[in-house]
Amino acid sequence: MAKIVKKKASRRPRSAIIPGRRGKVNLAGDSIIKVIVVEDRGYIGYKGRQLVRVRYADPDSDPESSFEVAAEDLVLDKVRG
Amino acid sequence: MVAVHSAVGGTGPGRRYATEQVNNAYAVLLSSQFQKFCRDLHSLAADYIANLGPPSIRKVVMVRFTEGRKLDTGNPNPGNLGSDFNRFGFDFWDKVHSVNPKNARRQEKLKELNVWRNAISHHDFAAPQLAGRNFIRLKEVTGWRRTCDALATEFDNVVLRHLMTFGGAAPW
Repeated sequence: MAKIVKKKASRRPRSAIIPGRRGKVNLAGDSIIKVIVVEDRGYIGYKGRQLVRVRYADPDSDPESSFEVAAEDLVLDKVRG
Repeated sequence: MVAVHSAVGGTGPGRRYATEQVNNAYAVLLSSQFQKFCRDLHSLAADYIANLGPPSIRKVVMVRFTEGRKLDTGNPNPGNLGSDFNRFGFDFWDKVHSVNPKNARRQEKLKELNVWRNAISHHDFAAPQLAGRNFIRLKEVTGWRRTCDALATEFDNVVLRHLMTFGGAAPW
């Protein structure tokens, strides 16, 4: 009899903002930039908005330079697998 | 940390060599927590100003205020604080000095804390400000803590007053 192998559930939800995850931010108009999450800053923004520190995903950009965006403005890429 | 200091070294007179590590850890922890406070205050102010404008430019304003911020990677020393908070269109330290004459002395104490923080973190006690010393006492760290507590309140007031000049509702 074939053994039924259950897929182990992921520990974190796919919507989780965790360092290293990639996403996109539409700055203005057609200006969409690809970013990598550096840090979830939590609900510290004006009126308790969740802020996220991100850096440019472009390998030519300065890896030390980061900026913050509201979590609602960040569209995370889907997790593969 | 004060309780740990007492547990390790007791409360009687005399120098305690075993508590040096506790004092060092206390100073580094204090600096990091003050950095977190300043960073959060800066983010809150940036998000507030960004939300005053039209939604189309909100994100651009937010990026402008927070990109390459010194407090994200550096110590909360007076230079980094001035550099980051001056982005909001005012001379941060001038305002802080004007609200309370004690703040000039507190600025010096904050500088002192961060010199020690770097010395401890990098185990390099060669900075001329340390005058050849390689240990700190609990009394000094608790003094820096009082300074950070006082400066946190002053920074909060100064930034709030400045944000009110933009004409929106009180941010907090």
